[in-house]
Amino acid sequence: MAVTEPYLLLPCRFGHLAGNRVLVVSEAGEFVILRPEEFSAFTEYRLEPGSPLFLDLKARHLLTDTRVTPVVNLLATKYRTKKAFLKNFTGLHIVVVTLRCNQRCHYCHASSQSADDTRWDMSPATAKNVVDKIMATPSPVVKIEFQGGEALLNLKVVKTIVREAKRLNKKRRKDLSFVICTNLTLMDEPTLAYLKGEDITVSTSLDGPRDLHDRHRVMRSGGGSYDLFIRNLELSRRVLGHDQVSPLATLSRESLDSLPEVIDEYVRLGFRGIFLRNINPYGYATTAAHRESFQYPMAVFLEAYKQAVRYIINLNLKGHFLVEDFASILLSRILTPFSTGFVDLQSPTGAGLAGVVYDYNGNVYPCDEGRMLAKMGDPRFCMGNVNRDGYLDLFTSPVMQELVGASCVETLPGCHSCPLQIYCGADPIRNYTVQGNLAGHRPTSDFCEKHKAILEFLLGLIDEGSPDVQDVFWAWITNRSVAQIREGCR
Amino acid sequence: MNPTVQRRHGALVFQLSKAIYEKEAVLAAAYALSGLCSNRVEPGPDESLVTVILKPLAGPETPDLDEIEHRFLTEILDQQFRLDLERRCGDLRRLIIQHAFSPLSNLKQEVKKAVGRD
Repeated sequence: MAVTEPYLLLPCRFGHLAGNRVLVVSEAGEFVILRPEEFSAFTEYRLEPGSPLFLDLKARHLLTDTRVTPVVNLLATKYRTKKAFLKNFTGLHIVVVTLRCNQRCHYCHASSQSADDTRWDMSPATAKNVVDKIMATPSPVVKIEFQGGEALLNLKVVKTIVREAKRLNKKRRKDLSFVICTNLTLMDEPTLAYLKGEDITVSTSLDGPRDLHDRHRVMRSGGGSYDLFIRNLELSRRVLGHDQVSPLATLSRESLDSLPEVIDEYVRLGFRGIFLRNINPYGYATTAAHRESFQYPMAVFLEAYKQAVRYIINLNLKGHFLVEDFASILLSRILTPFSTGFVDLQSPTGAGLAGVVYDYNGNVYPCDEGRMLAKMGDPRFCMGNVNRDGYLDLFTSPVMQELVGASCVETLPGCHSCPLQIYCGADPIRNYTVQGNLAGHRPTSDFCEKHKAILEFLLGLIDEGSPDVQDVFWAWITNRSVAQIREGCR
Repeated sequence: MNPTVQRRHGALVFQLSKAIYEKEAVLAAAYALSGLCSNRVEPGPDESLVTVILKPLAGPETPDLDEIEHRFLTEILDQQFRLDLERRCGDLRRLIIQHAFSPLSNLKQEVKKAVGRD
């Protein structure tokens, strides 16, 4: 800093937002939205020391007029906190216990197989080797998620894994938890008693009211699955507890036209969150049969998403607590200093680092998309096999090294100078699938289009300064009602 | 030394001064528009200039030449300014990240080396 300059600029990234605004984000993720003339004054050292803007920028560590070393020390601590998801290594372990399924959903990523063909089940011997690898992770927190097909069709191996993991954990003493992903149609009281006894939570799928849910979530035996779902949801809640069952929605083109109805269904059934996600280009979703339902432009999804978030905000203001889970993750990144691990949006990628997938035959993939590619004939993301390879062989495999190298947004073209970088992430396997290479091409990437648009939308809502919207956002981040947030502010 | 822009055969031809725009800024700006335009970056008519040729790709959402010209000129200014900011703050950025993951015992000296004071 030259002696004539009244303050020192600290590292930041900037970009333009709608409405002639400039977004400025510090290295640790603190942000400010400025008018262009304010941005010029800031970077040309023309801010009056002591002015409100000067003090605001100083508080957010975008400039300093005091000793620099303590500021660098503090920013380093904040940066480390933001990247804390890297510290523990892989915590989410997804085990595909079978490819068999009693449903034949039109958008299935899992290449499900007939419900009675047991060749597609994980064997107990493979399951034990899976557990050995899982429990070798350095992460002190381990979540084992059972997926399918329909995971309940191979409950025997689920039980083997739970038993083995708990046995090994007597020595390892990790924070171990389990979740089973199920369409609920096969759920019954003995199974629920087992799940309750082992403290296993349930993740399920609900696409909306009956007509939307049944449109693409169909039984192999014919007909929709909604009525069975509702019946067994009630049963599951009665045994496990109301909040022990969480659903995910998959949004087809038809759902995008009816998102308020989808959201109302979640409210009607008493769910506390909804994750509005577009369909990914894998598995059956890519087939010609349902292309019109599943291959919609990202711009169509984004418009529907934005309207839906506004709709959910209003529901919260009317007293219905419902979180839009994706917005909540991003808002935590924007508004808090904390790390929010989210496998699908991290830098470096969460694939393999935050989560990993063990296929029914023991093959290991960094994420489900890698497994899908293998099913489609391209096994390049297979990290190895639990029956053959050791933990280090798998997690330091060339696949993992390549993925990490291609997924640091700090170095990716287009991401390297993006002001949204600290809130965003990379998905090299999606890049490979859609664009043909791991690094991807940001100007034509719908992954970039989606996350940029949603982050800018949320920042725009924050910038509008509505106290009501702020209350809802903090309610989502802290998992409390708007009333509780307001009570806490008094 | 403003950029000069000509329109030839449906393309925009920019002559940019190397004294103002660095190679990295030029390439980053061309990259940013590479979803809309094919681009060529080549030596200019004299050593002080670089030529950028942007030709819109056919597509329903491709903006007109005026819009592309505006976007490119804004983009290259932003990219050049980012390089200027990086020159001012880059050493501190590297120190912050280094110190975050592998704390430096001599942070004070490193800060002084980077910005001339601690």
